[in-house]
Amino acid sequence: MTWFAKAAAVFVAVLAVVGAVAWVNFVDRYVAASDARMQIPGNVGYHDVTIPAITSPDQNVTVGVLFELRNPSGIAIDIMHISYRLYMDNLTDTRPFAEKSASIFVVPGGFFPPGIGYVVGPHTTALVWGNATVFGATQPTQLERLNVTFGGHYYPIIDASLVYRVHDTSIVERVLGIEFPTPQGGIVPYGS
Amino acid sequence: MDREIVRRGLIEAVFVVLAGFSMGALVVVANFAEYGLWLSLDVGGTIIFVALAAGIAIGLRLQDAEPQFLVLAGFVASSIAIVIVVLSVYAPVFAGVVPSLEALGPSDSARAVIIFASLFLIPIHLVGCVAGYALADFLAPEGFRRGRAPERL
Repeated sequence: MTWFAKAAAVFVAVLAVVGAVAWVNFVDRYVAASDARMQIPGNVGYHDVTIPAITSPDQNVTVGVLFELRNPSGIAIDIMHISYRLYMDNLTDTRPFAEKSASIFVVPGGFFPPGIGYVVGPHTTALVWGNATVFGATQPTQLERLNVTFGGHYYPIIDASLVYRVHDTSIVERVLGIEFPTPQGGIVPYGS
Repeated sequence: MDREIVRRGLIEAVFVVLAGFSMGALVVVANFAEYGLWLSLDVGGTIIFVALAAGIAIGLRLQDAEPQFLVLAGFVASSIAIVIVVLSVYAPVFAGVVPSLEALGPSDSARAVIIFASLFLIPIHLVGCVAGYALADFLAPEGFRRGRAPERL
């Protein structure tokens, strides 16, 4: 066998080893990222919603929404932001939500982590607060819309969206329409 | 004698398969750079360089073979590469994590482009094989050179 045939054999072998290592790395991340993209939309929801009692017309009210994000995949994800629109349902208004939404909208809110985002590791669950604040002194209309209770309970409607990135990739996904299922009896004002 | 031919053929077949696998693997890795991979490659450069280099290597290895076997080896290696690309693109489906790739979003055309671009491996790899075959003839010692016999010139 000539020297160049041996050199060619070594070259092909090295190319194959490099290709195999790179390919295994690719398949691992590609499958894990695809798994995450499939599973995240069904694994984001609400853990708790806290709305304090409103006692004065110029009160600053901070609404807290605790989001729960489970990451069942084998790759970490970065929460880039969770944003939501807070509505306070008026049970006496029997129009469909689409028609009355403009009149019951209170404020937007969300969770906006700095930097690359909030990292949720593989097979872990994250709980993050997304707050919204109503400044009573400057937002009297919003405070009035927020302060709608029935039987002393709030009936909030929250429509959230999540933007996340698969960790260490440039794959950014959006989960829209994360709706808060208001409990049957509404929400008891926090601190009342 | 026959056993020696079979043994040599099997060894060369292994190198053809390795060349095909490495071409397919590197091309697919270059196409999915957004997954933050260990190796970051340019798609066009990878298709040209890897196909040519692997082809030259196979051509150098098959210096004693008939030209038709060289072309066959080139086709087999590039076909293996294309199969690797297609299997890799559909890896999440085969792994059972998604029912179909459409579930990941409307990127059918992007996947089609990846598979279509991998078809360029065939001609480039064949050119590499022929170049390697010619190079082997040029590099070979005097007594090992192919070509027409002097009396037929």
